Amino acid sequence: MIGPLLIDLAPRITHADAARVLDDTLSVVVDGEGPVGVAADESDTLQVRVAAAGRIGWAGGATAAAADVIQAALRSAESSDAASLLPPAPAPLPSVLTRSPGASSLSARDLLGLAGGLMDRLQRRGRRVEVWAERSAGSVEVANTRGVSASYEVTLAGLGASVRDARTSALCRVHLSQVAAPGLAEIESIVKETEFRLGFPVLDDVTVGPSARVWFRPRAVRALLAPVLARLAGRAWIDGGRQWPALDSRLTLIDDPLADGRPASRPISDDGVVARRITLIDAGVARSGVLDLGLASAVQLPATGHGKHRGYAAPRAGFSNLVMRPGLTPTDQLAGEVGDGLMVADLAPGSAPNPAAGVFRVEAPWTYLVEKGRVVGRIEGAVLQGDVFALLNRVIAIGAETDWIGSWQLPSLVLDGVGAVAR
Amino acid sequence: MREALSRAIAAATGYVEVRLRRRWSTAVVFRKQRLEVATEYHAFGGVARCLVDGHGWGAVAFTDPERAVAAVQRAHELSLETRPERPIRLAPIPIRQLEQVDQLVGDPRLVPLSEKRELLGALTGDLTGHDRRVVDSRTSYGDTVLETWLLTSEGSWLHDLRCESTLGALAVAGEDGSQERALESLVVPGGWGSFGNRSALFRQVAERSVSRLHAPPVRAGRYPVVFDPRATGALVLQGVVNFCRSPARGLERETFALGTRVGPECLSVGDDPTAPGLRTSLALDDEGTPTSHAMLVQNGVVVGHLHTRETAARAGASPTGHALAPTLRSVPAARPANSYLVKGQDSLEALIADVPSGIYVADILGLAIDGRQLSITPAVARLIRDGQLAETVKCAPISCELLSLFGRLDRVAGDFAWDPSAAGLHESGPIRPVTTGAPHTRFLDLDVGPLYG
Repeated sequence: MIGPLLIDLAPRITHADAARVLDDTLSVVVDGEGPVGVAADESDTLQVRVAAAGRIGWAGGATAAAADVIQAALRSAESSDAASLLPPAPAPLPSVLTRSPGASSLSARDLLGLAGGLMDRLQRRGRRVEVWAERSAGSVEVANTRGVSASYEVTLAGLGASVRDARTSALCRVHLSQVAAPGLAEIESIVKETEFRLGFPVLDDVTVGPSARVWFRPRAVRALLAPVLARLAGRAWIDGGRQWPALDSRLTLIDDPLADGRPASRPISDDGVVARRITLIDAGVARSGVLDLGLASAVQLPATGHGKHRGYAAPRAGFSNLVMRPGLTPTDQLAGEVGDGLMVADLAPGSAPNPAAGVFRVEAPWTYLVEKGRVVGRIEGAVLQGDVFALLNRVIAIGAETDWIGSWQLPSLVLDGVGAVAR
Repeated sequence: MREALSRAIAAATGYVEVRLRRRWSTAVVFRKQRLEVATEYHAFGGVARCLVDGHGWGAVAFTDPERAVAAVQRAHELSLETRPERPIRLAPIPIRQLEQVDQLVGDPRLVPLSEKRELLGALTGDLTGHDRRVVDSRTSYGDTVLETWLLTSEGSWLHDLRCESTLGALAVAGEDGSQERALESLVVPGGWGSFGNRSALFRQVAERSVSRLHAPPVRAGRYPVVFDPRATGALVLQGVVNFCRSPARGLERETFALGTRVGPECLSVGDDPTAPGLRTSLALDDEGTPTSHAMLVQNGVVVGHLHTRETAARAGASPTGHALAPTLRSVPAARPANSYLVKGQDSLEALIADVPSGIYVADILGLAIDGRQLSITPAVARLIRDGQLAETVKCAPISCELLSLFGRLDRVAGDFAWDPSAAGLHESGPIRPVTTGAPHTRFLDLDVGPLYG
């Protein structure tokens, strides 16, 4: 559909590209009283970028208003500064699994069955449980005036639960998402993680810190890596790529859009660059950042195939699936590596004075006390703080097993010298 | 449009509601003097909801206005898929039909994008040129025209047209390896020309970031803290109003029970969507319920909740007109519009006069909530020494157990003001704008942590 739009535009511009995203998401929510409701979200959005008279402009909107979107993109170019855009030529697309027929055909009844199955496993006296299930099915179409014209179908299915246990103030939220339809294995995985977190006694009057050795489980590692990614994306990488602090030589981080069946899998970026695996951090050394086409053209570097160019958000560089290479320590030995310290199952990024610098201070409600290599109970009100970059150079152990959490595949990390306090 | 919506409503049985929104907006963003964004959006979003007797909600969101009839039919089918144990009821409301589509003053759709860029470029120059120590900045201009159509099977009708304009400024000052940020935002109802001259505001942001550079840190400990009206408004919104929202099923949230004491006698909080002249004021909510002033806490005791029709029916209460959707295509839930703390009688001078050692906080840079823990990062902090405002200081996040925060409220000043900055309730997912209003307040024994990084 968008190819003809660009052909119509051709006389007025030097280059143009466009991305159209069609999606139909179906979601259900179930609580202790049964199904709450079923919601569908049908969307069809378009983003057009044009290069005209040495300037670049873009606009986004509903595909139903495509003519307005194009006019807005042309006006955006007129108001912009001089810039160049070097769109890619057509190239063969790599093979990658982005769609599951099973997920795409999930009906409201199927989703209610999945959510009900998870509810049955988690519901018990003294708990407030809510469960949701959803699936989205759609397509992504990208094209440019150099002849790129590609599309691929996508599905994403998600299942999650939030559990508030009478004994604790914290809300335990666990969810998963993947291209394929969830089944019994995924239900089991959510139940296992939830029961693990809620299964330990809550400890009173625990003295922690001020510095501790901490086992970050994969979900916590994901939150911890946010400042690292901030430095690897777009202009931050261009401006600061050569000023990386030393990281532990066992750390390797890969951006992998070609991993089959994961939420960020894709054969081509929204700006028409064929997707490929990129090693971001190799043996502790930052090797590559991710660049979208606009920035890459501006700094005269090759685009890495990470352009996000959708709906109403400004074109930018964004990661696909992120894979951290596992280490050698089996999960059952990680508490032993901690000795006396903490285990953190998950944390939420909080406010930090200088997040770009990697300094953090976060509440960590899912923090557990480790004594003599054994997890003995949960600590409410724990706060962790430190400098992510310094901590990633104080790695004690990397777990040998990894978990997929959305578009991340991560091992556990045991880090030394983490600032920790308990209220 | 009304005819099209009537056709859609007629496509299903049971309770049916269709809301369409069309939004024209502009965004201009500078990073330092470099233009990052100059564009316009034309978005459309619709939501059809259906509730068949004895079944659950079916809802369909869509982006093509031609899909309204199909969306209603699908919502009806989805409603039939669910059968909750307890039937869902909707509290009755008076049926209103409103046309609020007066000519916009300074319609921003008629102003060329280049003029908007020029305006922000000049303001950005005021900020970046103010002091050589301003090493980074991000400035933004935005305007939005929003047109809403709402029709329900009970006959409620709303056609509303409004616009608002936004300015934002973030300055980062740096010297000798130290970096400090300051930010400011301003949202006004109205279109082009509503701002007046705002050069001073952009220069103040630069000045604030620079003034923090060599400020001494506050020693960790427990202090009395005086919050300015903007900071107080944010705390009231998060620490009181958020817990007075009656939760929809499927939205796990804690709620203060009616009759609970949550603060001292000087704590009275309400939400008034009918307050005149505010950008978040409205006549009908997103279910067509006429909005009303809701008193939530009176002299420290919870006396009311914000309701949708469904939550009101469940609680045996009346809908308050707070069923609000955060985005064009989302379904409504109980949300605040204009939340406020009732003013007291003290002056700011009286609040600090008997404080030997404390902290004055003007505005909040960040507010993090994890479980029941609240962490407040002050935007500007000054020491209070011997009853006087003293030097600017760097203040680490102030932390408190969220539910007990207002138990530490000590005094409330009489200098009430509505806040024109961009505020919103801290919740997962899209955030709906809220206006807050409050006077200065004083809290006792708040924990200030060590400054880190």
